[in-house]
Amino acid sequence: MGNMIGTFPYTWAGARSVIFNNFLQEIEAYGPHNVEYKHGFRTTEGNGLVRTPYSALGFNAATPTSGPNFTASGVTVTPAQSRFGSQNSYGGAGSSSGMLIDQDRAQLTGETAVLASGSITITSSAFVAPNYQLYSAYNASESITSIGKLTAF
Amino acid sequence: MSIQPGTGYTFTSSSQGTNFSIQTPWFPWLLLGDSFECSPYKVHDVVEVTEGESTFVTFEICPGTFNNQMPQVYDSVNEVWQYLNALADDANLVLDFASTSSSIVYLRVGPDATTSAFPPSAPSPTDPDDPYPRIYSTGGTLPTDSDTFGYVAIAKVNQVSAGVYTVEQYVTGSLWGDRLKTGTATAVYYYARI
Repeated sequence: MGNMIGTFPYTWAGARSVIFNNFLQEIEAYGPHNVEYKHGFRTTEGNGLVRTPYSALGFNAATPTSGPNFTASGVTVTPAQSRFGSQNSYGGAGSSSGMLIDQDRAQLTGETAVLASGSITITSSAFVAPNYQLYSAYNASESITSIGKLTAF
Repeated sequence: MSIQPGTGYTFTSSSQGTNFSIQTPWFPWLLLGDSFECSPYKVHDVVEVTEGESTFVTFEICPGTFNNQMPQVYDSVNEVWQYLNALADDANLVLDFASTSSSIVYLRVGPDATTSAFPPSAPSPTDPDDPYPRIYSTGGTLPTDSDTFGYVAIAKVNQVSAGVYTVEQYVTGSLWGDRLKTGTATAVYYYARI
């Protein structure tokens, strides 16, 4: 059964979100028809938001355990290996890909992600669980600095 | 004598006589002088009022909702904020012309500082800057959005000559709105008419 746009929380913004960045505290304040994202990425073009059924207003509420995201984390020190991906949730659980729609995955594939351990080019693997995109570098404090076509805030 | 056709009916003549055909008998006919339809947020009946030595311009506005809340407007006779759909009979809504020839009627809404709900679920009678939906007017420009308030121009009243006013109506329906803030950027407000 469909939901009427406008009926809380299924507003216009209820179907859109920023892209969360790693495990930072993401939401400053949350209430009906209102959300303040503390950290994350906006799209450089357009209104800054991506379409998703997993937005804070539409689905996730005040504690964002899931939503469109990019996460980078170390896997092994030796050999140096880390993981970059748009996970199905912050914990990476679930068997499906991240919460970005196909059109946005296509837009972001091929873009450069600048990480604490260096830079990588995003591949389609970044959206496929459970391993996502593996790369040969390791930093104990791995983090995402920037991603092409996105503006960090 | 000739009879002219009009909206919803026609006349045809033949050797058999004259036919009067009504095409749309369900048309919502309006009575003479009764052409007013009170759509949400419609600004109307702008009149100049003189009391003693002071002259001011008053207006009326039809009820409309914002996120299912009924906005309030300031009644300068009773000096109290009242719901649009529950105005006192003697209420006076005064337009701010501020020495200009036009005045913008606008809706101001903000988030609840405690619950973060946009807007608060009820007015706060003690808060002079209540974020609950309120109707204001300004003889200047529409205020700029801030983290505290978002503004929507409802209508613009223009003085075309002494005591004569026209209304440019911008909003014609009730509204849904969302407030999104990213990082330190000023909050952005999105509106949709319902």
